[in-house]
Amino acid sequence: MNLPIFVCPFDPTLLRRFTGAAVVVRVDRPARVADAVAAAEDSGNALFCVILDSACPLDQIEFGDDLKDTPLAVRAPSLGKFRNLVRHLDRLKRLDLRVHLPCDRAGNITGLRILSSVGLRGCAVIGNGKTDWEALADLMTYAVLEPVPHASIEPFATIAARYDPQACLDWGGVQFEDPSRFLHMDRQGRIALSRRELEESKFIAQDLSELSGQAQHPAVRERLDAGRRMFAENHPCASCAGWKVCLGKFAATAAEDRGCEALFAEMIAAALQRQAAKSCDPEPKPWPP
Amino acid sequence: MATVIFKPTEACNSRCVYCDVVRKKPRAPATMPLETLELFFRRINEYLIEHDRRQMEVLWHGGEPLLLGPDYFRRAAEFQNRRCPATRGRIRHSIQSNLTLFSKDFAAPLKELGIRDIGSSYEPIENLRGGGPGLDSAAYNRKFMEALRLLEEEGFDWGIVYVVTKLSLAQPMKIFHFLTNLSPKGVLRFNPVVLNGERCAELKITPEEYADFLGAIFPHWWRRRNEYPSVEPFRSLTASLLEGSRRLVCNDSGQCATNHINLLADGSLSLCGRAADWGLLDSGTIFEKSFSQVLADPQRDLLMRRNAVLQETECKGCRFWDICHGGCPVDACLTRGSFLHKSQWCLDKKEFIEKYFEPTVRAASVPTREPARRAVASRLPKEGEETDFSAGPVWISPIGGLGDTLMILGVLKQVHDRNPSGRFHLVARTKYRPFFEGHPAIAAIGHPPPGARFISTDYWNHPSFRQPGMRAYQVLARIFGLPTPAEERLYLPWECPDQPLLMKRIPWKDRNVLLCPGSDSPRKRMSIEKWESLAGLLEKDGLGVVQAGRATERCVRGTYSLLGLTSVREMVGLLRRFDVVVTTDNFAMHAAHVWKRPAVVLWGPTDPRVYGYSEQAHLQAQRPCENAWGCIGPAGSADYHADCPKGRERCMDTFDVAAVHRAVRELLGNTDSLSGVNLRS
Repeated sequence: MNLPIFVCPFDPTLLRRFTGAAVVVRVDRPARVADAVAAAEDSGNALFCVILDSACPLDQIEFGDDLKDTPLAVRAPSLGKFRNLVRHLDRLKRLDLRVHLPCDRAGNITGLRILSSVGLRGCAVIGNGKTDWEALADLMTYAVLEPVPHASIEPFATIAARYDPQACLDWGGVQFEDPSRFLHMDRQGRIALSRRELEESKFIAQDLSELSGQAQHPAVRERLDAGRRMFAENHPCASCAGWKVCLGKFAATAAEDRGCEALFAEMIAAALQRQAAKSCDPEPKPWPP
Repeated sequence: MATVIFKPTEACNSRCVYCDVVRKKPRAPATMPLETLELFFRRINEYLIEHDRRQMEVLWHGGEPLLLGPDYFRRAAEFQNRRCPATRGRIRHSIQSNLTLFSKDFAAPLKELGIRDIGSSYEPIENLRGGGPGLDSAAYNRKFMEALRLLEEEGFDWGIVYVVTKLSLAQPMKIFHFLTNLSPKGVLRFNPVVLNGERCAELKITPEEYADFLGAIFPHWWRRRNEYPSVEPFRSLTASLLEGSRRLVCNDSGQCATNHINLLADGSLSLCGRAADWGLLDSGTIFEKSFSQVLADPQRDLLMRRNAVLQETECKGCRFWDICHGGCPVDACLTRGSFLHKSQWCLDKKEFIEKYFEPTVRAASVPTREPARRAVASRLPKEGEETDFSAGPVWISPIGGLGDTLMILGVLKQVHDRNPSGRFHLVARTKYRPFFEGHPAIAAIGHPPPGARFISTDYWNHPSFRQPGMRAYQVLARIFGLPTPAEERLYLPWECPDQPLLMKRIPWKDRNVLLCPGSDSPRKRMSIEKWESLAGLLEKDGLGVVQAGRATERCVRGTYSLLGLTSVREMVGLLRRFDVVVTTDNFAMHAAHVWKRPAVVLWGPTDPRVYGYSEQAHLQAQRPCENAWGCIGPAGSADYHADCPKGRERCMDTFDVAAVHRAVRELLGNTDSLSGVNLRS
């Protein structure tokens, strides 16, 4: 099979157990990023990016200048205080950085907008807990349609750029959650389809060797077919106006809260509007100008 | 093209409640023997040799054709190769299947027959389709979804027929989203359930109900028709009504007698599947008759005569004749006892077009035997006749540019002043909302229910707009029932305080000129080089030169750019702070008139006599084109968004920059500087 990209914890021993793969290495503090890059190179694997899982807000993370060539995804609980962050802005802008903030926390949706407006790329982590869908829809509108130059906000930027009315779009990859592209590995080398399943020890393989020799692991195929099962079962998500860019990602909560439908239906309209505008007018100015 | 509806088996593994096939007494044999199959291809060859320019479509139907198994299709391909060596390039195969038996084994033989697209059908509502006496729709649905995956892996496209029943009527959009979410690459077609007699009375629908079902979906489809291009009957109606296409399905063509043949497993021939189901128009068998003989069957003359009879009787004067022809003759015969009547399903088409299609789509494009524009005119109040609000809300469907919107605001204010109790509803559209919010003539902004009454603001389609010298404002006044000539007063339903940040940011000089080169129509834009030359001349004069417009417009070098930094409301407010505005026929031209600010307006394809204001300096370009009205004047709105085909000879590039500069200087000479008024600090 074509090997997917493995999202694995920073562990040089683990990385040396395989070679020739693309890897995303997770670290828990910035000081380890450089070590993770070196370990990936030493192991003969190609580094896709480093994920920094930070327990502290973005404003309190100390990034060194040596990270500027490393693709970095920072998962932080919040933005922190802007007055602190603004002191590091120049340094942050020199990094190849995307900031992932969970959107179940008050203020993080605003935080993503602030980051975008100052030129820092962001990613809204949606669906872990209570979600203010209306606020997210506002953020989406800003991300996709605001003409004033700003940095991209995922997953909206990906959806707006790649939405094709004739097909469905899985944007889970922007959060490393697309089993056709990313598989998650623990320190023992066991493999799960998603980060959550990794944390819940729901593995599809005990070792990388179990994946080889198959065009596509049955569990991966089954996960990719999960959408069609929702049609066969007549799940409410199957008749949702936003299905093509959601694919039932929030099916567990959709029965009580249809806010996701409003968001993704509006997302489709915004994507079409943007694509139409781009076909008529020249590209807006890039950031930074 | 001749079409053979080919039913090599009438057996089916599904028990759809509304289907006649499975309830009929099976014929013998149930599956067409291979000898008959081979004869079928001999007959095709014979027909195509007799008609050397024709093609033949073979539509594999049933029953369920995949019950035949992959080998049957392989044999069909062999027979075709053997019996039609010189004509097989003119044979087109297609297939209609429920897909639940599809496996990868079918892929190669179907492809050998040239089939790349499979028509299917699906029903999300439980227990209407399914296998076995209990109609196990859950198992059926799982198999169907699995088949879709296999089809896509094997490179087949597929489409869906959805049968609208009584149970569908409560959830049209849900069903539409469900089916389009499956992302069929082929056609998605909504057909009404057709049940004759008393069977399944609980599923029967009337033509009106079918029209309402379609009508609930159509506005969404129309807005997003590029996203869902292949939804029927919307696509074909749009093509017929707006594009003049005459590619009609068999029901509507009035020509089925000349090109349709039905062939059953026992070799019997008739007009079509439904005619065969009901024992109508039996044409003998394939064993004794060629296809040419079947198509020349004298029984079919009656169907051709039907076209002439209906035009003099039930369909006389019907403006939809050309796209309907009285509908399916078999329907007519089953319900009225004779082919020489129209089908009851004509009603659904007429109802759908008049109730939903025309109000949604620009009615002017609908073919009519009545004088053009009748549909538009009938919705509108007559001149001087106030809008009737007693029958419920009247919705304004705003279309047009932002400058047009400023005119509409003015007209509405006058309407409201004459009748303060009558207030309109506005169809919510992002572009227009900031203009209309707070307007005294607007009661609400939202989404109209089906059947709502509309006034559309497309004044350029109004017949009076073609009258020489007729101004756009006056046509809008007529549309809203004001007596004309009406005083042309623009109106802003909002306050315009200065934006301190914006005012401080602009590097004001003693005198300042605002350049607004943008337009939605590329034909109304002057080249950026000319604007830059003008900016250079103005700067040499010591003037402050600022450009405003949308973020996506091209920046004029030498100006202070506010592109993308103002909302439309801020732009209107800002404009009054400039000594002169230089603009094309656009929003800024109208906005300058709001404040009576001096403006130099550059006119190319449009006419200042139609849109301009008397206090402005109008410079009209020489038009190289033959249309005296200008290419996007009355009757030319279709070209509004297309660029000028004249290239470098386009009228907007014939302006002499020095003349524009002189016009600005002249206006400045007549204007006191605003710098002393301390408005900009």
